Amino acid sequence: MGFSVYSQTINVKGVVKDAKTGDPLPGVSILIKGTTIGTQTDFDGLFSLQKVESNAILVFNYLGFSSKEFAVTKESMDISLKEAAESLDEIVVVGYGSQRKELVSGAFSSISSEKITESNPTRIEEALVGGAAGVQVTANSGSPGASLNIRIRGITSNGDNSPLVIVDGVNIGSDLSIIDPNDIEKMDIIKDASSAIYGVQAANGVILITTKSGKKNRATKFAYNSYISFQEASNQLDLMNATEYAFYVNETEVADGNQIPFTNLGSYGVGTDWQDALFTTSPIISHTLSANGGSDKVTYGFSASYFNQEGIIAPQKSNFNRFTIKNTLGIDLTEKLKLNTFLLYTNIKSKGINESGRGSTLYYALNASPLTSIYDGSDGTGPSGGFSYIADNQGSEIVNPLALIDNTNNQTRTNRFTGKVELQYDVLENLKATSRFNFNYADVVNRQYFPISYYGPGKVVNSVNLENGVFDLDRNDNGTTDVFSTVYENNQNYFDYTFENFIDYNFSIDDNHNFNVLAGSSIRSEQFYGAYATGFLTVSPDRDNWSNAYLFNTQSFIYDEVLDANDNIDSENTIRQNNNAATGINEDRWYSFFGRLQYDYDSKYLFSAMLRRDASTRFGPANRIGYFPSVSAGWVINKEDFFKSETINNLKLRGSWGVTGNDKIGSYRYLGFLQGTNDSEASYSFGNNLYYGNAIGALPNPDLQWETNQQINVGFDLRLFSNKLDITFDYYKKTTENLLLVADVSGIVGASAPGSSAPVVNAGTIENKGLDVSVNFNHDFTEDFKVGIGVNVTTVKNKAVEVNNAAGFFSGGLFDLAQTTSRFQTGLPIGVFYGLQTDGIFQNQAEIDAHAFQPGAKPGDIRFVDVDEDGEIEFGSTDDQTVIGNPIPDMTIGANLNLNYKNFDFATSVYASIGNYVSRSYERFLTYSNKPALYLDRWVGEGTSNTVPRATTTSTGNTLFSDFYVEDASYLRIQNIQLGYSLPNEVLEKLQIDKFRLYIAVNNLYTFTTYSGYNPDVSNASPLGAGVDLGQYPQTRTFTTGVNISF
Amino acid sequence: MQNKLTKIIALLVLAFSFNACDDYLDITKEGEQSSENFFNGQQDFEDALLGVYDLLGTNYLSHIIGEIASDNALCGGERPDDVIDWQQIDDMIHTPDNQALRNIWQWMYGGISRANYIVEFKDKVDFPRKQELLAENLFLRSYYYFELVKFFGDVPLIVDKRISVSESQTVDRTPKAEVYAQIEADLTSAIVNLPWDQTQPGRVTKGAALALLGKIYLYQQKYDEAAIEFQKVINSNKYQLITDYSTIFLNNNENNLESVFEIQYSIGVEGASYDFLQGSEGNVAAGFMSPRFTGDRSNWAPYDDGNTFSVPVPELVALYTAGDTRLNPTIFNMADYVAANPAVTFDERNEYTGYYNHKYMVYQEANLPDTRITHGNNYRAIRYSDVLLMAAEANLMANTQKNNPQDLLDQVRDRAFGDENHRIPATIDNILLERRLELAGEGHRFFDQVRTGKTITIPGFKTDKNEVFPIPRIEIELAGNRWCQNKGYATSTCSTN
Repeated sequence: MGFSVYSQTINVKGVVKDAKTGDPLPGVSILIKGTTIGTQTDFDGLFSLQKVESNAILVFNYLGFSSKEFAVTKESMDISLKEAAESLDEIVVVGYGSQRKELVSGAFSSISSEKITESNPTRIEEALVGGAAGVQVTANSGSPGASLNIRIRGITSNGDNSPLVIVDGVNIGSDLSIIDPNDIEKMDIIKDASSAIYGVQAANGVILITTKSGKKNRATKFAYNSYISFQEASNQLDLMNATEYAFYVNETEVADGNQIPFTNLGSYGVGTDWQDALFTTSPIISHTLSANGGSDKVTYGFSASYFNQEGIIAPQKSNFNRFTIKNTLGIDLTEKLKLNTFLLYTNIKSKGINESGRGSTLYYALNASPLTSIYDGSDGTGPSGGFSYIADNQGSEIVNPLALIDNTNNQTRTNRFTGKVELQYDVLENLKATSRFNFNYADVVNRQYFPISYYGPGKVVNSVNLENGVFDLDRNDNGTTDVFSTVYENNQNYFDYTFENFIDYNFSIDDNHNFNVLAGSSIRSEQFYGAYATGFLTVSPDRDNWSNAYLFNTQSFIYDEVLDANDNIDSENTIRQNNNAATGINEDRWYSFFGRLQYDYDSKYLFSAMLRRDASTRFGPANRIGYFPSVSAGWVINKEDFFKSETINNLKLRGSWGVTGNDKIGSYRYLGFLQGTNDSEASYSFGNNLYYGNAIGALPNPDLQWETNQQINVGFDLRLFSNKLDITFDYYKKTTENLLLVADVSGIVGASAPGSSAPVVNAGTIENKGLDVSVNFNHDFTEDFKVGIGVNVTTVKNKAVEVNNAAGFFSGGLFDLAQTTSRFQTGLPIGVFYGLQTDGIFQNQAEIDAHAFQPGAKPGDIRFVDVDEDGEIEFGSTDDQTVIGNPIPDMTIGANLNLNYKNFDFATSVYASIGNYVSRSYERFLTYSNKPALYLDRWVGEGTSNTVPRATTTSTGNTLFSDFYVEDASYLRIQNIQLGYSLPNEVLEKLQIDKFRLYIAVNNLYTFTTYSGYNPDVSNASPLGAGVDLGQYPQTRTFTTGVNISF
Repeated sequence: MQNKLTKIIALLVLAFSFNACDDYLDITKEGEQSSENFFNGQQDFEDALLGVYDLLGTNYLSHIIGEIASDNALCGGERPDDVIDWQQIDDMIHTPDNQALRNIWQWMYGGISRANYIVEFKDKVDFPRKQELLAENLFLRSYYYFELVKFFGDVPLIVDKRISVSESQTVDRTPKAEVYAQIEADLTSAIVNLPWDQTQPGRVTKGAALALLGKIYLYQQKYDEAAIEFQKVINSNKYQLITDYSTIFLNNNENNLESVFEIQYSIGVEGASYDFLQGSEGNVAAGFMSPRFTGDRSNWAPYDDGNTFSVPVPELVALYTAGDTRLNPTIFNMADYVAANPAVTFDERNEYTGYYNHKYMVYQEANLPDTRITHGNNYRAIRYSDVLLMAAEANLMANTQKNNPQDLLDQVRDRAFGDENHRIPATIDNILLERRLELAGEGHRFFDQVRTGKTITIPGFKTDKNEVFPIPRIEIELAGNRWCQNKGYATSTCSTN
């Protein structure tokens, strides 16, 4: 600037360290700016310079690190350099390449490894929760190894909405459990139509994961990360205890005109707490060891991990155990030819219990009477196995959940390889050709054992009856056993490969016109083969030991013949049962070309255009080729001469438009296949012999084609106050057309015959629009005190613009035994709850008389709204049904805070969802089934309640799906709190290690919500059952202690 | 070395970037047969025909509705809203959104579509049994269309081939008379090619086709034509009344001499599930209509327990006069049963009358655990006594009698009482009353009441409306909103009111 100071020289010395690890950096070059005077750091990162002018600028340069400039102000300098790749602001992986972030004109979000570590995720999906604007993650279940649903900018498809996940260039498919989150260096999420470079598979967005690997000329760095967690149920449902239950049942029976069953109401106490009996505290253990480094021609990264999680219900029978080995190796074969390889081996062993829906342990626990004890006091050798029977009057399908667990035996073993071999050839300095082959190979072996089981009289899941108090194993009393345990085994093999070749050409014209051109092709094949078989276990059945439960100890049929008096086969008493084996076989292929042009003028005006041509065997020959274009442009305003601002460091306007596709339907749905005569549903008996015929399975649709997703995005990036405040804002609108769905079709096409089903059709348009905003603030107040705050907000407004199945809607979801909850209907958000609307409780007969006619209504019953205003509430009709809630949140907010003070670090994140509704679908409406505690506030007489209906099971309308069963499940969750302490440098030096950090963390500490069920974010993979709570396994709260060491 | 590698890379890039690998995509599903390449021999036709027979198994629903819609039975069940679709039919407040009615529609058209699939390819290959096989196929299609006409009146008539989803939105409802004309013609041609006897019990016979044709005439008040067809059945001497009425419906007396057409169920070979009842190979109706016993299962042997639907009303029970051997085999009297078996306990449940349908109770057959929905007892769809009573009615009303109505009625009446002392004059009212007594619990009552106009005894029945059920609203919409709703059910603009 324009003034000078009196010049003075000083002697400077200092140390240069890695900002991330605190390691001293040897060989850092240091130059006095504007001169050729300089030096290098020694082996301990130390340097000294004599007679430097004060206020001179020192420039620090080190390979692989961002260069840094410091003004000389004092004699001693402590310099930290940041790794170049670590500074995520710099590089964005954009698919078939990467780009400096400042040149990106599409909408991307990135998550760094630090952010991932802070949230201690057990799976990739968890690392995304609240971490990136526009990305919503919901849970199906909190059970070990359970997958989560990732939705990038809303629900765009009626089918599979999961994004494409690419790890180091490898499409890893749908199973995200195979990667240890500790291996992830960063995640880049393509949210807008820039994903068109991936064409027909990219409509749901793309997540690009870069794993950790070594760098050239770096000594081998070892890292060891380990933690142990304890998990517990984050909440339990408030149910009636034994006394409350007895009162309620008595009241019900009186209301229904029957005798009081429980007379001694003072004697019941609290009774059995079935949830307490199920939930336990279970551990997670994780170890990860890695080694990264490189020489001048080779880079390498190796890691191995072990992860073990036990379920909070029945840990011995519900657990997930993963072992991974990852290896990346880059070799400069010649000056111009580089070989990159990637190999990931994953071994998973898992066990599971029935965890959601109508056959689950929790559903049973929520409905079983608290008056029933868990154990019947027997020694366990009898038919009951020591477990009490749940009386038939609590539902013929409700059984003792602990007995069910006792009879659950299964194991799945997965061996999987993911690999890549890539050759890069520098044809010219700026022309690079890449040939890449990658594959996924998985063997999944599953075995299940179903012991002979009896849960009490009249239970539908019994596999045997009792005779004289013991298992009736000889049903036709002819002296031979004809009831056996069964064994189910399957062996599934998945293989896919992708072979891609592309060239990448960089050039500039007149220095300022910078071009990058990419062109390439790709072929991909996904193959599947599976064999499935069930057998009757003919060796001695044993409930507790299933070590002999293999198919080789079974037979596939039972034929137990009884002859009548005339020595003819007595067909009524002869027992025939058979199990059929089956094979599954499939292959899908894709064949694609793609090209991309990226242009910038002096990093100021940005432009990008891409086109992919895809052909997919998911569609018939006439419809299989599709073109997916996308363009984007940006204007970096702060680079303009007219733009001068001290506060604004960066301002970029962005806009994009493009089209992507979705072909995530089953294979060959354009063709119709027969069911096959093996065990087909097209069967009929002649006499008492069952014959298997053949019929069309799913009906064909020769006109089938992919759904297209057109997206526009406009936004800006803004950095203020010396880059301390970073704001990204995007508005998007996605329109999905030709929606692929299995629509309800007219009965006259015959799709409802057993074993047949409706065709997949292109029938509908969905629109999602909203805002993604993220604001990040980072400031180092002092060397010792650093603060980072990030908030991201996403809004989604979803609407089915058109549901083109003639009726304009179709239904899904489940309530009670057979009612539907949800609709996909023109003009409404997809999966919206649709049912009767309530208007309080009838307080007296006069109110009933004054109201529209409601069949069977009595005081204390729910009063429904006469939506169609015809003077009558039609039950079992859609006439008075209407929208009663939307499972899709209006807005989700993720926020996180990081504090570093000296050697302590603290991180916390919260996640909020506003405006999502959940339907309570886990109640069994029987007199003797247990009830949620909300019924304690029931109507018991005029003026007692205007929200909860009376105790009865003879009402005609109370158990019809209505907004009484739909709750606002908005929530705020304290997702994670972590406190870490790193040993100070002095100690580290003595120990000769680079880093030693201990931390404690709590995940899912608390959820603020008014929802009365387990998870306010309960979800199902299907958009039409979203937000239907069938009593799914709750999210776990985990307490973790861990250690990070590197040396 | 470097040169070599360069060339290899260059070749690879060239080979895969610029070779139009269109045949890379020429794959199809290995080992599975496409629907358009089927019917290559007799076995394919036989397999496809089994697929048409399959839908007979869904008859349980028509059976139950035929009872609870009539004055014979109340709906029952677990609670007043247990299977609300049935509860509403019982109370005659069913709406076009009734899912049970939609199932009838879907399943019958499922069978029709499978039959039409055979018709579509009927000329592809020849084999000796083909004409007979095609005749069985036409019988089954006629059976399904008759069910549709009974339930819904005018229905879309599709006979040549399967139709696509888009075609389904271009089809109109065909007047009932034309549907009848089609199935009369189909049955007439089928009869020619069907044998009187089949080695496999349950396969369609000439007798079954004649009886069904006669019944279809009777439903149209074509009494003379009906009398002719029934007479052919009678003259065949293939059928006779079983002396002991109480044995007719026993599981070990299936396909007996009285059975003209019987829907076959088998036990236990496959399991079944409540959310896929149309796939059960058992008689679901029996499980749904049995009492809910509680406690030790051996107490109520040989019966098994069920879901307490379709409970007979006291008014029906009272109609049986002293000495009528049909009462006990028809009506299961819980009070009597408990008196004789004091250990038996049970849940009364909704609309308890003390009575159950004894003809189709479930038994602890082969002691299966899920007998409620896999019970093996066949549904006696057309019994010889039914034929005799229909013949009596037809001859009484016909211009030209083929048989004496009194003789026909007497045969049924004599068997019921075990003597000839309880004969009654063959008036139309007596014949219809006899039908009710003889056939109670078999799913015919509601349709008999409607076709004879004697619906006044059905609680809630509205004339000029409830004679047919509403076309499912969703089906009207899915077919492109081109059909008018049946009279009295219309809620939209298009109506025949």
